[in-house]
Amino acid sequence: MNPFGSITELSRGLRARKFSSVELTEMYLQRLATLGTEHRAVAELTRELALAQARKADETPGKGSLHGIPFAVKDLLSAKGTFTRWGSPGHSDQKFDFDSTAVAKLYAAGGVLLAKLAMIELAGGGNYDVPWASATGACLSAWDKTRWAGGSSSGSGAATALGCCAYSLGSETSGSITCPSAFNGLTGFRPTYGRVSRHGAMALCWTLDKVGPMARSADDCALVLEAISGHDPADPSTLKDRLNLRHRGSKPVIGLLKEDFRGGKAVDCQKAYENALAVLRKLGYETVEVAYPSMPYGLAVGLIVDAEGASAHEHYIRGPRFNELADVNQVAGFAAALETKAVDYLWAMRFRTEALKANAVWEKCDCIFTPVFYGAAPPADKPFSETWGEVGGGDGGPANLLGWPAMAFPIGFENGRPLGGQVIAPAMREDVCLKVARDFQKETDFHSRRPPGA
Amino acid sequence: MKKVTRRDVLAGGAAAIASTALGQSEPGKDAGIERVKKQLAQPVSAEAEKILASSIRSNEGASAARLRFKLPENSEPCFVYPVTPAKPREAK
Repeated sequence: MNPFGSITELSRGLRARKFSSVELTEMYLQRLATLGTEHRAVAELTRELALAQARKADETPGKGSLHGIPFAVKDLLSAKGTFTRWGSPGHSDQKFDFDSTAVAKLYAAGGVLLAKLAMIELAGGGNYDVPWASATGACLSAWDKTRWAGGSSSGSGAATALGCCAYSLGSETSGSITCPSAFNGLTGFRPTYGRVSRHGAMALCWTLDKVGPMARSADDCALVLEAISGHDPADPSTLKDRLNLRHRGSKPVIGLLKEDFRGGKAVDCQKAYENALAVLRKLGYETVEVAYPSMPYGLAVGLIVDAEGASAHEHYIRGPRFNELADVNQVAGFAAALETKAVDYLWAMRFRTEALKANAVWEKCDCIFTPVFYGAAPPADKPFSETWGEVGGGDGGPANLLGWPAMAFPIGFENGRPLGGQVIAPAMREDVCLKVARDFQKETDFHSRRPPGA
Repeated sequence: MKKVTRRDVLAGGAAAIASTALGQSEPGKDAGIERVKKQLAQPVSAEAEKILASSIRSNEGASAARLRFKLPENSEPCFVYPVTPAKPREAK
């Protein structure tokens, strides 16, 4: 049994009875208990539930590729019978008596839930400034235990890269899938807003939150997204349009933003980016220079996160356990956010309509390729205010504000630590992200490399 | 000067950063801090209060910065209130 096997490989192994789902599950539980725990990626092992599901999967005919395949989820997704602590010390006793829609869909596909994975407390909505802003402490990169695993889907990033599960689910308000994917050498798929139901997922921002898969390949992400997507009456923001990952049309034209590479200092990232473009051009992809209209997208995202985050967690912020948050910056941030003015929030929501002018970028290209960040993971023992300058970059455009999908995947290394690129596509065109990433991964092996010691 | 946070960087909040180059806060004397503290069930630590002052200033900066981007008059927010009809009254 290969803990780094693709979903398809593992599924074939199960169907050929080379191993059972119980054996696969036991292997992953062991790895989560050792490697995953060493990296502080685990919030809770769901051992009994997992083994019961695995036994049932072994006894029933396979329904599809995900049948009998063990997975893990960010601990903001509810699963009946488990704690759902949101990474927050102040929510240590929290349980829900229902499954989130995304988890329920994976169960329906025959999946086996191994664990709830570590995350930044309350998805970092209070403006966290330290890697240890979590009830489980600083989650460590799969590639280097002195480095942070990224966030807020920290455990999903580290555990999946370490081969502790076949795949995981993470979530993103603004960066929380792409960041840990980049820092752990993973492929992460942030879908179009509304593609996956948020029912049962902790709300940070009702209008920005997206649940998505994190796996070791674009193909695996696609399989999982197909299973978890779909309209859900319990979440009115879900799209009625069905996901279609079959790319239609000619080969996408790739838009390239003006990249600064930290004033030219991000040498490894620049090299990885240029190598990635060389690979894509060799495959016949055309590239064109593009630019987003200059508008304050980040400012609007910040105002929305403040207002919606403070509202979503108002009861907790005003409650007796608020001071238990691990990061004092989060205490200050959430408290200050209580004062967000209605007119400021409404400006941001009106601005969002104006920001649709950014769709003009799609008149010149079909997707945008850009580094997730200009540097690899920062140290796990220092505040970001001291270290983020050595990372830099980040998509300062309208993608999250407008709900555009993106797929992040590894494109190279900096001192042995992964660097991530991302393909951003127009709303509802996840097929474009998948097409480009999949083609890149057929030609390269960054996504197949394994962390040392894993 | 408020320290640059990850969200500032990720959100590309150059405007927010620039607008927070304000004078040092005076915890306890700032009406905004007191107003926020009154809304919390428990007192915050001295460290949290110091950062709170900075956070409030950062938010005030964002509030001022957004005014620099004028929206078209009468533009609509990106949500629509969905009217829900009442259930028909059952005839007796």
